[in-house]
This record gives sequence, C-alpha cells and structure tokens, in this order.
Amino acid sequence: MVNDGHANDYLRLIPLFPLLGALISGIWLMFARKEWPRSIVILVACSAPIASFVVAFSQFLELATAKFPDGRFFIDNVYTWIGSHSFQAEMSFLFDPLSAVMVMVVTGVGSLIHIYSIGYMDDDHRDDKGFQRFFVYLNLFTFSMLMLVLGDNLLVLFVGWEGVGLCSYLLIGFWYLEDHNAMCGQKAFVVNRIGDFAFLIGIFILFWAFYQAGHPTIDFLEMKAHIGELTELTVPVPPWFATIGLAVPTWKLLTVAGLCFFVGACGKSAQLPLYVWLPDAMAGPTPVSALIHAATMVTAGVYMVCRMSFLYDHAPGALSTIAWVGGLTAFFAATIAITQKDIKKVLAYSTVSQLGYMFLAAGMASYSAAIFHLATHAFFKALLFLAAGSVILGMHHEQDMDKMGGLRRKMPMTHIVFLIGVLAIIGAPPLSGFFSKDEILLGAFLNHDVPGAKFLWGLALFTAGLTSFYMLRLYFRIFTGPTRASADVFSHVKEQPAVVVGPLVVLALLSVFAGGVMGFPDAYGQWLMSMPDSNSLRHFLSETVSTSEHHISLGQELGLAGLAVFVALVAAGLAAVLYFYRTELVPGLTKKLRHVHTVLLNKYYVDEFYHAVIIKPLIRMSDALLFRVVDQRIIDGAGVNGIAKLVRGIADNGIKFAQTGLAQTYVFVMLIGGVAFLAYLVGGI
Amino acid sequence: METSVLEFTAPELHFGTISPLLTVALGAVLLPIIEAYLSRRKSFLSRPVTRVWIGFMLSFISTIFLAIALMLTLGKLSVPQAEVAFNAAHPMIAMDGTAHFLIATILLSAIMTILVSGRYLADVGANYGEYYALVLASVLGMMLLAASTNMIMLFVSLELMSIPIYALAGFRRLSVRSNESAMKYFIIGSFASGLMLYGMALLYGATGSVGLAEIGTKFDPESVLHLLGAGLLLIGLTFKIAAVPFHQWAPDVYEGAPTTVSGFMATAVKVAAFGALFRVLSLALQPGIESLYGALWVIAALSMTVGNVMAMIQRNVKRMLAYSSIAHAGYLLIGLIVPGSGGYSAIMFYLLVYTFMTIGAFTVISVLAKDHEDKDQIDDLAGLSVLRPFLAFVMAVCMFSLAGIPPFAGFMAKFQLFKAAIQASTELGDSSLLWLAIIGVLNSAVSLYYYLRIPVVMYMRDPEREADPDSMAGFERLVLFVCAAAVFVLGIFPHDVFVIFWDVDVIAVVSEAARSMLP
Amino acid sequence: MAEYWGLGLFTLLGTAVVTLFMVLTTWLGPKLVFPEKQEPFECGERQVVSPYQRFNVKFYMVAISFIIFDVEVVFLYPWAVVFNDFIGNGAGWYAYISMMVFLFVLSVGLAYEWMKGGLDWN
Repeated sequence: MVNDGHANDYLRLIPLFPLLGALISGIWLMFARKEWPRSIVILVACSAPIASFVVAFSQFLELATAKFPDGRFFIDNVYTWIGSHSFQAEMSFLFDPLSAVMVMVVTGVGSLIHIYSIGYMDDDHRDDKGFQRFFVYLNLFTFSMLMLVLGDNLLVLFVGWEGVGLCSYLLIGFWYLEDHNAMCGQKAFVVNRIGDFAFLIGIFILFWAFYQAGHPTIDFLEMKAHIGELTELTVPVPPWFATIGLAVPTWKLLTVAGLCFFVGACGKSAQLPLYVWLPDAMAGPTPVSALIHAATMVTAGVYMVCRMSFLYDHAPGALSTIAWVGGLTAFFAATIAITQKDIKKVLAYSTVSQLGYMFLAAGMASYSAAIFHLATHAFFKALLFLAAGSVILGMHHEQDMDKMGGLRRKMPMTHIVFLIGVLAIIGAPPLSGFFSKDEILLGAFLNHDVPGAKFLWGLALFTAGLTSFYMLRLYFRIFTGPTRASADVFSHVKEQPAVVVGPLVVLALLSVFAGGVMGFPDAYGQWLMSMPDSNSLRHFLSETVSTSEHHISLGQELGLAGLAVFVALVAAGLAAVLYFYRTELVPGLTKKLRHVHTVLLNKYYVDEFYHAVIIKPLIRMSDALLFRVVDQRIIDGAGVNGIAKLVRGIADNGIKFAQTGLAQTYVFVMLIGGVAFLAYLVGGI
Repeated sequence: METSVLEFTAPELHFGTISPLLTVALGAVLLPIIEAYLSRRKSFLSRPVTRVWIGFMLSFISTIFLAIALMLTLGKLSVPQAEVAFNAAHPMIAMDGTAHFLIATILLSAIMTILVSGRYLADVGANYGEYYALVLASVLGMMLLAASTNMIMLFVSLELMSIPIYALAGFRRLSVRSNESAMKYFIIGSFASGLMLYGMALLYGATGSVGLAEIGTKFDPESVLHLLGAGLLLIGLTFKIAAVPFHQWAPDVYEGAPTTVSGFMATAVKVAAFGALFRVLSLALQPGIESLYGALWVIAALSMTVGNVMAMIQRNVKRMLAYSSIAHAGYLLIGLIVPGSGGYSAIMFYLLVYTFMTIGAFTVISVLAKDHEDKDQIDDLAGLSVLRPFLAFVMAVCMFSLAGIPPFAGFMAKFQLFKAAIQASTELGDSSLLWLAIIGVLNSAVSLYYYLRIPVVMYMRDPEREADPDSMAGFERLVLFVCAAAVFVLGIFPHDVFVIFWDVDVIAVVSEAARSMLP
Repeated sequence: MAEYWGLGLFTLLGTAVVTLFMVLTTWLGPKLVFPEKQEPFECGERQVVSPYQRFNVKFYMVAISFIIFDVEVVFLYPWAVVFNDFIGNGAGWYAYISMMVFLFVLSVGLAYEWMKGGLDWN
C-alpha cells in the first residue's frame, strides 16, 4: 500500500510532542499534586507545539517541493492498531496537501495561542493548580487535533475527534467552581455527542458498504480508490417492509452515509440545528475560545467534509444539504450577532456564521475555497478573540460592551490589531478575508448542481453585509466614543505586556497578507502578473480534493468582488452612522424594531425551544419513568439489589458452613467433594 | 561376585536446556550459607551488619539468580519445540515453549515478590534471611512442576514447591494467624498430596509405567482403576489451584500468611499447577474421556460461582482476593476443557496477566502494613486516594483488571478464554462449553460488585485516619509501576509488547507454545 | 470368588472371638472403680506430674537433625551396592558425580545448621 516515496517517519513526531508535553506535565500534576514552577510549565507546554510546528513546516516544504508520480502525500505507518480477520486499522498518519494546510494552521496558530496564554493565564488565581492544568489540557488538545487532521483512516480521525471534544469540555468548564461554566461545558459535550453518534453511524455504514463491495477498509486512500464501486448501493431494507405494504425506499447508501457524517460535522462545527453549544462555550478562558472555538476544533467538521469529498462527489443530495445548512446558518447566526452585548458572544455567533460560509463552499463542491476560508478565518478570528481577550484583561474581566467604549487611546496596539481583524473579516480588499470570501461567493455563483444555488449566493452576499455591520458595531462600541466604563476601572486600563501583544501582531500580519499569498485569484494573476495559476492554495489542494475549474473572465471576477465590497461598504457605513456619528439614533431605532430586536436578542428562543421540546420532556421521562420505575424499581430493586440481597443472604447463612476455620471440616468437605468427583468420573453420573 | 545385572546408560545432560533450573538450584543452595555466614559477622567489609542489611543483601542476591534464570528462559521463548533435557526416550521434563512461558511467569512472580518483601518483612518483624532461600527452593519446585512429564518428577517437584510454601506461610512466627495458616495449609496439603500419591500408585499399578506419555498410550477409559487413578491425581492438582471443592484452605491461608507470600502463592503456585495439569491432561489422559471433562466442567462452574459469591461478603481484602483467586481458577479451568490448543494458550496468557494484577493488589496491601500489623480490612482503604494516591491508583487498576473491564489486561485475558470456549462449542456443536462461557460471563458481572467496592471505598470515602508517612521503598514503587503498566500494555497491545529491547507478541508466543505441546 | 472362602471364614472367626471375649469380660469381670483407674493412660498409679509439660526444644532440634541426616544417608547404601554396575555400564563418573552433588547439598544443610548453632547444646 505504501510506496517507497510516500513513507515518512517524521510525521509521528508532530502529534508526539504535544502528547509528551501533556503526559509529562499531567502525570506529574496527577501524582505530585503540586505545580511546577511556572517557568518550567511554560517551557514544557510551549515548546511542544513549536517543535511540532517546526517538524510540520519542514515536512510541508518537503511535500510541496518533492516529485510524486502518483499523488502528493506522505504516509507514516506507526503500527497496526487493530488487526482482525478482514478488518485492519493502522495507526498511521497521512500528510497530503489538505492535512498539511490543517497541520500548519493548527500548529502555527496553536503555538501563538500557547504563548499568548502565558500572559493571559498569569493573573488567574481562581485555582492554585490552574496554570499547569490549563497547559496540560491545551497540549492534549493540540495532540488530539493533530491526530484528527493527520489520521489516515476514519478510526484515527475519530480518536482525535473525540479527543478534541473532551478537551473542549475540560476547557470550557475550566473554572469549574462556578456552576455556570461547568454547565456550559456539559452542554457542549452533550450536543457534540449527538453529532458524534451520527458520525459513528456514518463510519459503520461506510465500512459495511466497503465490506459488501469486497474492500473492507476505512483507510482514506483505499476508500477513495474504491468509492466508485459503491455508487449503486442502496440502503438495505428488511423484507417485512414490503410485505406489510410499506413503500420500499431506495435511498442511496452513500447519500445516507454522507448525511450521517454531516450531522457529525454539524455538532462539531456548530451548524444548524446543533450550534447552540458554541455561544455558551465562551465560558472558557479566552485563549481557549480563540484556539478551540474559533481557529481549530470547530473547523474539524469542515475538514472532515473536505476529507470525505470523494464520498460527497458521489452523493449530490448530501452535498446540497450541506450547502443549504451552511448558507442558512451563516445568515441566521449573523442576525443574532447584531444584537448581542457580550463581546465574546458576538464573536462566537460570528464564528458560527463564518463556519456556515465554509460549509456553503463545501456544499458547492469548492472544497479548496472552504479550506482557504478556514485558514484565513483561523488567523483573523484567532486575532479577534485574542484582541478581545486583551480588552477583557484590560477591563478586569469585563465582557459587556455596554460598559466599554473609548479604549482606542488606552490600548493602541490592541486597537490596531482589532481593527485589522475587523477589516479582514468583513472582506476589505486586499486583506485575507476578502480573497477567501470572494472565492466562496464565486463558487456559489457558478454552481449549477445545488438547487437554489443562486438564492444561496444572494443570501451569502447579504450575510456579508450583516457581518460587516455587526463587526463594525463591535469595533465602534469598544474602541470609540466616550467611555461607558466606571471611572475607576477606566483609569486602570492599560496596554498588555509583550507576551500578549506579540502573538497579536503576528496574527495581524497573517490576517493582512496570508489571503493574497495563499489564494490570489487566477483571474487577477493573469491580469496583473500574467500568472495563470496564482491561486497557489487551490492548485496545491487540487491534488487531494476535487476542485471544479472555474472558467471566469476578469470582468466577471471583478464585478462579483466589487459587488461584495459594495455590500460590505454600505453595511459598514450604516454601522458607522449608528454607532459612531449619530449614536443617539440607536435607542429610537431599537424601540421601533423592538419585536425583531427582542427575538434576535433572545437568539430566536432556540435554547428555550430546545429546553421545552427536548430537554424538559426528556428529563421528566427520565425522572418519572426511567429513574423511578425502571432504575429504582426494576434494575435496582429487582435486579441489582435483589440479586445482591439474595446472594448475600445465601452467603451470610451459608457462611457458617463455608468458612468455619476448622481444618477438619475443610478436609471433610474435600473428602466429600473428592468422592463425588471420583464417583462422577467412574460412574459418569 | 556375580555379574552385572543392571542395565544402565547415563543420561545425557543438556546443561543449556536446564540452565535456568540449575541457576535457581544453585541460588537455593547457596543462600542459606550466605545468610548463616553474614548473620554470624558483626561487620562485613567494615560496615556493621544489621538484620535489614542482611535482608537487603539476600534479596539482592536472590534477585540476581532469578533474573539470570529469567534471562535464560526468555532467550528460549521463541523456540516452541521441546529441547531435550536428559533422555529423549524417557523424558522426565519437557522444556518446551509452554514450560518456558510458565517458568518465565513463575520467575517474574518470584522476582516481584522478593523485591517487595524486604521492607514488608522488616515492618512486620519477620526479617529472617531464610525467606529468600525458601522462595528460591519453592521456585525450583514450580519450574520443575511446570515442565515435568513423569509422575515421579511431578510428585517430587510438587513437594519441593509446597514444603517451602508451608514454611513461608508461617513465616511470621510470632503471629498466631500466620502459624494457623501454615499449620492448616500443611495438614490439608499433606492430605491432598496423599490422595495424589495414591492416584499415582493406582495409575502405575494399572499401566506399569510412570512416564505420562507412556501412561497415555496405555490408558483405558473403561477401566475403573485407570479412572480412579487419574481422578485422584487430578484432585491433588486441583487442590493446588484452589478449585471448589478443594478450596476452603485458601482464604484462611492467604489471610494469615505474610501478604507478600499470599501474592506469591496465589500466582506462582497456580501457574506451576496449571503446567502440571496441562501435561497430565494432554499426555496421560486421552481427550475423549467424557466423564472427566464433565467433572472438570462442574468444578469450573462451581469454582467461579462459589468464589465470586463468597468474595462478596468478605471484609478483609486478603480473604476477598483469596476467593477471587478461587473464582479465577474456575475461569482458567474453562480453558482446560476446551479441546485443542486454543484453551491452553488462553490459559497461559491469562496466567501472565493474572500474575501482574494479583501481585499488584497484594503488594498494595503489603505496603499499607504498619506497626507490625497488616492493614488489610476493606475499611482500612477508605480515602486512600487522598492519603496515598499512587497506591490507590494501582489498586484501582488491578481491581478493574481483575473484574475484566476493558481496556485492562484482565478483559483481554477473559476475552481470549471465553472466545476459545465459544469457538470450540460452535465447531463441535457442543453447547456445554457455550454454557460454561455464559456462566463465566455472568460470574464476571457478579464479581464487579466486590471488585468495584475497593475503588469506591478508596475514592469516594473520606479517610478515617491521618496520612501515613510514605515509607514505600523504591523497589515497591517499581513493582507497582510495572504491574500497573503491564496491565495496561497487555490489555491494549497484547500483540505488541515492548520489553526494553525486545518486541514480543505474547498471544503468538502462547499459541505457538500450546500448539507444540499437543501431539 | 470361590477361592476366597478362607478369608471370609477368617474374618468371621476373628470378629466372633473378639466379641466373645468382650462380652465375657464385661459379664464376668469384677468392676472396681477408683480415681487412679479413671485417669487417661491409667496403669493403676496416680499421676505425679501433668503430662502437658514443656520440653526443651533442644531435644527436638537434635531429633530432627538426626532424622534428616540419618534418612538421607540411607541413600548411600543402594548407591554403594550398585556402584560396580554403574562402572560396568560405563557410567561410573556419572554416578559418582551425582552422589557428590547430593552430598554437597546435604553438607550445605549441615553447614547451615552448624553455623546457626543448631549443634551447640548451649
């Protein structure tokens, strides 16, 4: 399976470093129950992702430059994890352009956030062992995420998938002494679980299908090679279905599997209807929000859809679903973001919305656009979160923007990088968000396979306007105008130390330039530099994911981009008027639109809806039926306690005979037993 | 003078084959002398001689002997075929893959026992140097027992194993319990030995030979004499593994004996006795004897059930572990009933795993001993996770593994065993094995009740006493770590165990060994 | 079976004789009861001291040592008797070395006992 040119033993080092970091530090913490000095914690924790980054970068260069006759990828087969008759699962890592981009993002952004966390967690005294514990989790997360993106088969991917879920849970509830945080962690975990369940079902279906086709495998490359043989399979239906007169459905198996995978992705990547956990996940420390809930973990769903693109190419129905869910989520979350007051909540809904964009792109089969946006979004959203963290630190853990304003002069560096982040996300040319969002819109515009593609394009365009509006609202409310903070707090606000600002500057630079460097559209490249393949990322990725070739004229390209910029500009202007020039208009407008405003402020009452329709009946049924009747009466009463009582009764009463302590009794029992044994043997009774 | 009447050819001595045996024998002979010499000295190499120092020196020396033997054995593990030890025509012992695997397991158990004994013995005031010589002598007996293919060798090695163990059980000679334990074990053990010897006499009388293989060729399942002989022989061996109804000594003896000795008894004796059972069943008794396997079926089912039920009501951890060892003997007997090599290889893997988890559990209890007293009540473990987190962790791992919860090795071992039974039952269309496997699974479920009580007490109850000063010796830490690690590694990578420089597929080793043992 | 009739007769006769004498003594014999006669181990004399007496452990030591070495030395006899046969079979050295090994182990035991003071009376 592994050709000589593809074997690469260095890949295992990439997840190994963070694992070692987590293990060494974590085991110490577990047994010694005492923290290391902070400098050692920092050394161990931060060197791990940086070392991974260095290895990943060297292998990335290797991958980009080497010549491969049969596909551009490296494989590192560490050992056979599960070997059963027909089923073979290797613990092996795949490093192809897709995972290479992901690994670079994860280790790069991850390293920066590790460094930032040194400063952010430094003043945290809520838990005396919190500092080291935090970094243990962070390293563990990095390890899991790397397993996820490097996994060569569905099972390794799933290990990482569950691992990041666990770390997310641990880190959301990091300050677990406050009840609210623990509940938020739990919510994230439970909602994710729904998705994970579907994901598992998807794995089972797919494996079963390949097994039927005579290729029992869960290996990505092998699945890709044989997927064509499965296109005709339909969902097997038990024969009694037809006999009792039910219509026999002829669902394509691949579509069903694809939908199952996508439900998994919805859970992890916070799409409708499973997005509800992400805003609450903001209860965790801000670096966590940046790393896990903006840059990396939540994009795992997008990555997975792209990784499984070979399947979705044969499941157009599933693909259309993805596009629609993505488009609707993007719009839906953006509307909520307009009214939120907590700056991290705004960013959270913005993340949901941007993830929706990525799924929209994936659903339109422009996977490279999805990954492109994933990468740029990782940069600018991490930047925005970290800058917001800096603001929160400066404001002494105040997150309500009603109590901010006027921070521009107090925190000049933070202000500049935040502004860069805002400009990047709203798609101001030539920042990175402009290029990636443009490519998504282009993909939607040119798509003919998804029903209603043009409508989705329009919706995405409108959402771009919404994005622009709420991001600038956020910016103006934090940094401009007279302050609404108390004088005492405001007088203490100051710029953060270099360890916090440094990563911000690096991320800001990436947010500005990464887009143009990675994905300069071919049409401009031809025009400006007569370079027909200037969109390097897409050409790089095209060796892994199928990319539909856009044949588009320069005029069209410019027109579409201009339209997007125009929409963003209009929305930005509106925001500027409302929140900068004529702030006195806002209360009146709010009052006039109070019905809409209340609905948006309460996030469409989705949480309440879920609570009333799912959670409450579930709890009531669990309590009344499962707990009181099934558990207490049947399982505990008749089952466990009953049997235990019975057994104990027998044993207690038999104890006089069973353990007398007298050797002569023992010999006697032995004799009786021996005679019975011999009698059985001889007589065969 | 009359002419020579005795026909005799000197057997060839293959020293390479028996080198592990010779190493241990040499150690067993030299250790008493060394001990006697050292204890007469006031100072040695200009340092004062104390009891503790002597204990340390002796444990060091005996560990070296055992370690050399272990290295020699491990080197042979990859060769499943029997090496000739003395005389190819009339083998006294068969040094084949099975023997090597079992010997390695016995040696591991002995090494771990010796490493954790020094501090414990000093702590309970029984720091006498004879301990190590006795352990080594008993190990020699076990090694021979696991390999013996001749009834005389079988009996001699059984006694060589047992007599030092009787003495070890009573090693705390100032403790009434320990004396009681030794006395009971000795009396009941002698009785069992007597029965076994009787069986051997009958078999010899019936067949005219003492070699197990020769008996196998002449064995007549129709003859009452043959069956009685075989049955009595089996009683003697099932006594050693503490199977119901020959089990009642076990709780009293394990409870009274020094804790480290209990661990040694529970593991190494069982390993050796199973070795002997392998030989007797595969060589001397034809597999077709219906009633024999029926009788073993009943014993297995009874052992599992009685062991688990009685373990539930124990308040003393050592007693509980004794009943648990009875139950495990029941599980292990399933493998003997399965025809073919699958059951034997499952047993061998199980024995290795069982050694680690049981020694781990007993070691935790021995570490807790304080002020000349064992802290072996379940209540003594309350809040251990706070007082001694490492101990609590190892204990919990061992308990989970004993209960057979994945991913620990205990699960993998049980899985192999039940799998073998179920496979054989489907292949033969014989539902009795399936039923035995079902009984085994049900019993595992029952056993959860008492195994999990320990972690519950350790982790969920508040400590009732002050934290002891952590007096654990480095060796104890090492052994506990090795046990816990082995339980993890054997559970997760049974096919891929790395032992420093050496990568071994344990499952493949045992199945090769089992296959080579069967004709 | 027929040739075993003598055995049966012997058993019957034995039982009959024993029963006869038991019955006769119970019937005919005089029954004098006095305390000395009720003692366990009675021999018509009053017990002077309690039989549950401590015994010097040194006696046991000597007795055990004697048994060990005495019994083991018994092995030397058959060996010595057939030693010529061993030589005749060309296994003389083998037999000799075997016995020396045995004696070595035995003398280790002796040395141990000696060094431990098992042979000192005081």
